Amino acid sequence: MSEGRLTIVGMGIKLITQSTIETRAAIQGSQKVYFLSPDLVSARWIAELNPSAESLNTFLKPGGVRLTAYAAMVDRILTSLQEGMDVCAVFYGHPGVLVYPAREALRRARGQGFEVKMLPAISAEDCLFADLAIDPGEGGCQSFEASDFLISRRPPDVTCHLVLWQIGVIGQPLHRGEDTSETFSREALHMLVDHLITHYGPTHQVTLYEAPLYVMCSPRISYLPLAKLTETSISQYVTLFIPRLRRRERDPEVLRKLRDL
Amino acid sequence: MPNDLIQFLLEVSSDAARLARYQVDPEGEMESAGLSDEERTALRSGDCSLIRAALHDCSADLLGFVAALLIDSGTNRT
Repeated sequence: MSEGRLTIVGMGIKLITQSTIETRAAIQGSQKVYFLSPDLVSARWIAELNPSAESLNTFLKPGGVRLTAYAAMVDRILTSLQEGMDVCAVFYGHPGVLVYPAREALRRARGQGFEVKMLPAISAEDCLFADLAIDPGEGGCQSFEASDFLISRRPPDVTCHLVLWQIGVIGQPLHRGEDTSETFSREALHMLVDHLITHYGPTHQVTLYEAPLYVMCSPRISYLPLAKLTETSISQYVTLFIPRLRRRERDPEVLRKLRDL
Repeated sequence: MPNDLIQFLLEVSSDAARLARYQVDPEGEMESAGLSDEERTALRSGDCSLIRAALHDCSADLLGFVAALLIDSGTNRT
């Protein structure tokens, strides 16, 4: 095992208040901290916890190629590890959910023989379950990244709930290396809605959900028919929730056998 | 001043007792912190975009795409 240790943590969604004690201890206890923060408040908080903290936001430049920025972030993290330091990398939300730099840093660090640990954190989906009073255990819940769902032409199971992450950046082209401004693709949204309508129908009520960043804010929740989704403005932090169309029939024979056990 | 607002939000978000006081008396806590009218209006609104504007913070505009899935159109690698 190489010297140096990497701990990857998340701040949760509601900034600072949703960070765990374990996460705070990891930040404070590391020799070097790197962070990608969505705002100035969390950036200051991390710097106060550990003065070694260095922002990775500087790699993100308007109009820049996102892939290049991601690679540079990971290189920066790995450099400190290779110098034998105990490093903590801090990301927004849950670091293991749709955070490419976190996942790539973990993969490369492990590949080079470093001890690596990722701590769980609250994700946007966790906030959605709480604010919409949804129990994913009751009938099930499928969860996909919106662009992946569209490109893979996934047929949803309409007997359980569906969560589509990052509907607000669906189809945006930066990850294919194009140096374009980061815009929401209305064409991709149309394609998605057309696909969903074939399974749910145009009047099925869906929910646009945005979790609050700050402790005094409330979630933004909009209910609308599926067909109206293409006419709505959608911010980048929004998650789409589609409730199940109907319940799945239970197998009476299986139930009978379980009761007879 | 944005700096006062940053510090206020940091303290309210990281100190449970401070948060509890804010939840009971938000006007009193904002007054004690010396926040400007614009900052108090933003906090009262409960609107994250207004609060970010009061912070003069552009960092959030970039971050939404950091978490996006990498799609390689050539190899279907993600």
